[in-house]
Amino acid sequence: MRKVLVTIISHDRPGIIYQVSRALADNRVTVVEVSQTTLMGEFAGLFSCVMPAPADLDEFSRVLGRALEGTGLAHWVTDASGNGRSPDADHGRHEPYVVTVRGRDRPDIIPEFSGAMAGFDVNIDNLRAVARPPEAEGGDGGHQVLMFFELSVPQAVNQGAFRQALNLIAEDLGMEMSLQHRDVFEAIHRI
Amino acid sequence: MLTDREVVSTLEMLKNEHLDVRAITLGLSLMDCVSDDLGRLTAKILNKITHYAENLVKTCDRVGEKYGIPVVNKRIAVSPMSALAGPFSPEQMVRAAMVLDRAGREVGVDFVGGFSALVEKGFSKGDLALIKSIPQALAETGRVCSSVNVASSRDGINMDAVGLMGRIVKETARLTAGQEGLGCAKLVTFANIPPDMPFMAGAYLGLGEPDAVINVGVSGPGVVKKAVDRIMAETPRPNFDQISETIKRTAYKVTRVGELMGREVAARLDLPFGVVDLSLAPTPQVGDSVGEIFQSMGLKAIGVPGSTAVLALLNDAVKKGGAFASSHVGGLSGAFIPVSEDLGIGQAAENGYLNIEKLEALTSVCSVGLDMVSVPGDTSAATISALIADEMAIGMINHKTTAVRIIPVPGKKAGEKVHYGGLLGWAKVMDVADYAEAGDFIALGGRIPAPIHSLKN
Repeated sequence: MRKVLVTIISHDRPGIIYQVSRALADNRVTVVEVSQTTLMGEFAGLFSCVMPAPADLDEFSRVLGRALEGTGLAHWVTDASGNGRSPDADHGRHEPYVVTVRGRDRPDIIPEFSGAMAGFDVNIDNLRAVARPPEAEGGDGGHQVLMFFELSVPQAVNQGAFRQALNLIAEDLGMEMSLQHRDVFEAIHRI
Repeated sequence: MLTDREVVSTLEMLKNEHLDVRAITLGLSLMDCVSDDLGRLTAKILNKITHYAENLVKTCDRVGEKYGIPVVNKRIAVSPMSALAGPFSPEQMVRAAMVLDRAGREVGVDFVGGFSALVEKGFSKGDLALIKSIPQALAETGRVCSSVNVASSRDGINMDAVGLMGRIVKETARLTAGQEGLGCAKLVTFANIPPDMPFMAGAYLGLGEPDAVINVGVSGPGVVKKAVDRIMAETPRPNFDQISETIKRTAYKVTRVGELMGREVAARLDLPFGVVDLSLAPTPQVGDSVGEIFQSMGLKAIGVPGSTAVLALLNDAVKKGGAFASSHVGGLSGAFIPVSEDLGIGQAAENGYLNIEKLEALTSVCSVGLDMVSVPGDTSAATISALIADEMAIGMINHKTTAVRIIPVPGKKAGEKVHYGGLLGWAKVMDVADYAEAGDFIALGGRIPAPIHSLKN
């Protein structure tokens, strides 16, 4: 068996999942995990799959291309044999934290914060940015944004220094920032 | 993955709705400190408190930082002092209080509760000595809080103790006259006092409790008010079923925060976790008031007709939501209505919507009682005792905790304003029907028998 990752990009419309899954099944490829999202009418999907070994990835990509011809779906096939790090594998060595940033939108918010996170070897597991109405709390009439980064923070990271680094960036950018353990969000909202 | 709604809702609760953990209280038994030598007793007390509470404040702050939710107050509640300092005189009791104060100062907590006595059926020698020492003890200490349980549903009301407490309250006010009688803000008279309450001024550690335990008090009137405001803005307008459901869900969320953080503090200190007390404990800030919730539900102010019904709904919904959210709910768990500490209640009293008689009616369905009520400084001790007796009767008959924290403000008349400062807030001095005949009534003494526990039709 060989692990592959199939990436699909397209305008969002009904039938995408059917067309992709049909093409994969016809080639004896089994889907193991799927993550998909949509934004501004565009679809992006990641399909983690296993296929019979030995298999030629270039040949598989060509076959998949033919199967999806005329559908408008762009696809990429990559070897994922060395991937597959289970989130649980690092359990005990990382702590899940959430950084929320809100205020007036500007181009350098994500690079500034993500740069600091990378500097502390902190992985961003998920990033969401949500446009907020101009009258949102604390807003000055400009384009307001709320971003939240879901992070895996190594236990070895100096929490105080990490928090201070993020605070300094928030101050420089004129944003409001908070760093909280993820458990508090789940405790409040999930039974 | 978290959803936008979960993140935004949590942020709103923290930033705009004053969600916090109001108190983490280390309950500490001092029964193993008992000695017939005052020096040995106080040395053991100091040693035990400073040993167990050495890292309390630091740990609470670190856990608060981890979750982004502040732990506003860190406190200690100890065994009732009258039980462990039984052989001593009132003067010696004052010295014991000063040691509690010193221990609290050394570990950085803001209050130490448990300068207390349980006298619902009668006095021991230690109980009497402690009660007599209360005015001096509260005048000479800053952190020590005192409580006296004078009634219970099982034992009735000790009217001798009620009479004594009226005089103690007056004397406490006199000895702290330079601070508007502030000593009385640290003194509570109870019926059915809970043994695991984390909130001051009434917190103490009951005799059936563990040697050391972490109890948590969470608040959240602001969160409840905003939740009620949101549902009231919907079309069509909600009915009471829906409002109650909204409050329950909100209480659940708030309690979960306390449970999460309390358990972590307890684990870090290697102590057992006790209870979460979910009480709507207001502060004198806009948006952190129980009184404002009444206005959100359409009433002119707390105190007008309809208020008792609203408070009953509120108190019950808070208890139900809290009970579902925590494995162990304890303490008072409900809604507090402290007059000076709550901006909305204070304003209702100032504007004439709330008088002391209506306040007493409200206490029949709230979680505590007459709380932070300022009355004229010349109110007689007997009338204060009579007010206490009424409140104790409500608690005794209804099998609930009731309490009186009343301040006869020296030199002030009804209608004047008094500023206590900080979280204690400000208040209008309320008018009290003070008649000389109260003295005859209180002088009867003895006990009002416990109510019958059957034939409840």
